[in-house]
Amino acid sequence: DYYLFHLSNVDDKREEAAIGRLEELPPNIVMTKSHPLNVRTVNISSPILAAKSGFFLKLFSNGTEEQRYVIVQIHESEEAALMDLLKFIYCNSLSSKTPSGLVDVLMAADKFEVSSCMRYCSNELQNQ
Amino acid sequence: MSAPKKKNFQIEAFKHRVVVDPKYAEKTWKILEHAIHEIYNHNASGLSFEELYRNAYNMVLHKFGEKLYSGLVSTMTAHLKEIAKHIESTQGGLFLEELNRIWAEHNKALQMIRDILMYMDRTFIPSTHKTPVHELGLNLWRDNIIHSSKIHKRLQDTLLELVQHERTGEVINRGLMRNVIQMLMDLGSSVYQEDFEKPFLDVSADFYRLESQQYIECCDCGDYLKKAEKRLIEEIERVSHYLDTKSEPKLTNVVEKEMIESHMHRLVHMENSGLVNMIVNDKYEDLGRMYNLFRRVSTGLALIRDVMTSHIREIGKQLVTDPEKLKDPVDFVQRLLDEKDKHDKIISSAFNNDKTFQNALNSSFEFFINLNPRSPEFISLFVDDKLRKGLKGVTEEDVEIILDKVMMLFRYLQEKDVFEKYYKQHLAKRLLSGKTVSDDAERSLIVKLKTECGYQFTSKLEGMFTDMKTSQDTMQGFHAAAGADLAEGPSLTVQVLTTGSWPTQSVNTCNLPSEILGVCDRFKTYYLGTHTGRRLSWQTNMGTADLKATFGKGQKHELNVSTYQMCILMLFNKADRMSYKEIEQATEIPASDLKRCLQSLACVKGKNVLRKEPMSKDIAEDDAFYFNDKFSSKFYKVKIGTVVAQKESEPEKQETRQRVEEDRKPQIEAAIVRIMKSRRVLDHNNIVAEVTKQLQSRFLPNPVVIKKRIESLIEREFLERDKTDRKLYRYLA
Repeated sequence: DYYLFHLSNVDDKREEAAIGRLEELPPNIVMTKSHPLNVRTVNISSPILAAKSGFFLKLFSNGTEEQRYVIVQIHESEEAALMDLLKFIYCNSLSSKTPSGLVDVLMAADKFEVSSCMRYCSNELQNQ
Repeated sequence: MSAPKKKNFQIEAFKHRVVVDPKYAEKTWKILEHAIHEIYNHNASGLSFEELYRNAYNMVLHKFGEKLYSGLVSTMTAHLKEIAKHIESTQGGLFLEELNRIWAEHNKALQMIRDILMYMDRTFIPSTHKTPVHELGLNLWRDNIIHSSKIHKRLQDTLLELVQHERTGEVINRGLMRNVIQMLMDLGSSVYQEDFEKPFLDVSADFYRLESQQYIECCDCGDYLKKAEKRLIEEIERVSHYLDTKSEPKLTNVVEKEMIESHMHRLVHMENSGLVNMIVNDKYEDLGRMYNLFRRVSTGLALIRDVMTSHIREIGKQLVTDPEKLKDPVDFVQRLLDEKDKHDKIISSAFNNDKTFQNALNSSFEFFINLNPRSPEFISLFVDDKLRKGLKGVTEEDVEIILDKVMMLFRYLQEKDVFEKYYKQHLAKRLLSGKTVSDDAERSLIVKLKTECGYQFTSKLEGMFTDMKTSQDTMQGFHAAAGADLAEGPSLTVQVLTTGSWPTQSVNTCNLPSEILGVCDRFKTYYLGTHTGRRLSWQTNMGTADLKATFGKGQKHELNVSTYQMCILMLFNKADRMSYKEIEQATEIPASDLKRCLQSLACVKGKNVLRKEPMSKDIAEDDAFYFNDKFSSKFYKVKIGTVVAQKESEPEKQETRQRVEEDRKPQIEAAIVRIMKSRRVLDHNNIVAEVTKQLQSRFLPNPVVIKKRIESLIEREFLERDKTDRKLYRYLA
């Protein structure tokens, strides 16, 4: 039921490349399924995530074990929303267009404190 | 997003993941509680932020926010109680350091806990109006540590003790002090104020009350002020080193009150070292210090100003009323100027050029200069002295500076018209005797007077200059017309003075020697021939003559004498001996002038071209005079000055005073008429007030005189009294 998102930090030099790849989702996502947890590894840039998300900001700076190697555990139902949220962090746009999809992204954005995405989703939902 | 799609839209039921496990909340909380313990025990590096955040998030999401919050409160409280016990048990000197160390740790832990509970902080707490995590942590620290009965007093005492140590010269750990004070400030301004600032200010007041008492008993004023200044600077530095900046005004206020305000009267009046002593001895530094310290206290500057004012008035009063100092008018004015310079310097270098002090200085000078009715005369004499000889070898700028200073004194005068009278006399003498050194300086002063008092004041003075110029042209014309006829007799230079512009008195012309009379008549004829309708009268009391005289052994000298003296000496061409009576008869010179002339001709050593019998200093009516054949001088030219008292004698003074009073009458009348013309009806007191106001730039009119002038105007039917109200006047057009 749960995915382990394995976010491997990308060096600054590779940052632009990473953005480029994320824009062409999903080819860059490596997913391995195993029981009971599915693990999916996503390459990200910690400064970009920290800039957009209060959660990631603290995650990378809090002084707990997560420094460069980050695992985020989520419910299976949250996977699509989280991937879309990551896409938003990089590109300021969402794949989800349906109301229910947007609500899921909104939930994820609220959980990880990505306020720009929360605003975006609210606006989208109001305009529907 | 087309319209039809909109119709089909339906909101699905929100799919909350239902918690099946009934012990879910308890289990999750245990994980978080454990994490909080680990954080306080410095084991945070083994924790997973993601996991803890997720758990806290889920608890809030599943409506267990209340449990999470209350759990946090009790866990943190328990920890702080433990910490309190630990701090209480620390021994003596380490107490503050330990408190500071643990405070830093608590802050760090609080930071981490807040991060983990970030979601609760963001959503649950605002909606339930609870205290945010960070503030909660500070409040719990305040209630369990700072306000714990065993720590509260100890902390306060330790801090105050450290300040006391520093005040008595010891070195303390300012960094530690700053951190602990900062902690109190972080806990809220009320904590800082109640638990530290208030008792601190009380203790400071006690300290400085005691210390200032000790200082005032054993220090002189200057030393005391130095110490007070040092203390003030120390306290300001103390604030910048480890206190809240908002404490600075409160703390300096305490020092100001205890060290300055309580003792300022005693300080200012300290014998041999107080304010007057500082002023007398030009102690700029001490005065500056006093100014800067007293300025901090509300009535401080007024006190300095009052004492300074009464001191200057006292000094000035002595200066202008001491008969010794009145003997030499030039010296008298110089003293006034020196006194002004001295106090100007004090105000500029010690009193920050304070306007109120400048005003006080000015009003003091105005007060005492006018105590002496001769001040206008003396100031004019001072100018006279400067313009006769005092300006030789002085640059133009220096002349301006001196004249500006004189103008400053002039401004203080209430009786400016009296000054004008004297100034006119003195200027006339300078011009007629050709004694003025610099035409530029003369004109410069007149311009200054003009800007100060207006055109009327100086128009006659300017007329005098014009007359001088015109006379030169007239003389050229006369010589050209008379030409060779004049070569034989004595040469004559005439200055034609416009009546009214000059301070001429109508004097009886004395009998001029026949040689002179001839040439005078020729001039008169020439002048009246070119200017019809004018009248000329000779002012024999003025003018000078150069006489060539031959003494015994063929010694030749040229004598420079006044007109009167010339008349006297010419008599000795025909006789070797003459009595006082004979001279008086022959010349008809007024007695007082005659005596003066004879005195200067017979009684001054080195200039005694006449010999008097009997030999004495004063001239008596039965004295006899001889041509002094034995006269000798190493100079060819001998100038015989008239013995003129530089100052006016008592009767002359009375006369001038009377003329001034006479001149005031038309001015007062003119003012009354001007005022009544515009007002039509006015009561007595208001007229007096307005007249005084209009004329005060020239003099202060006496109300009694104003009343007399009003009565005179009523007689001449310019005004009338109101028929019902006798105090009311009406203007009659």
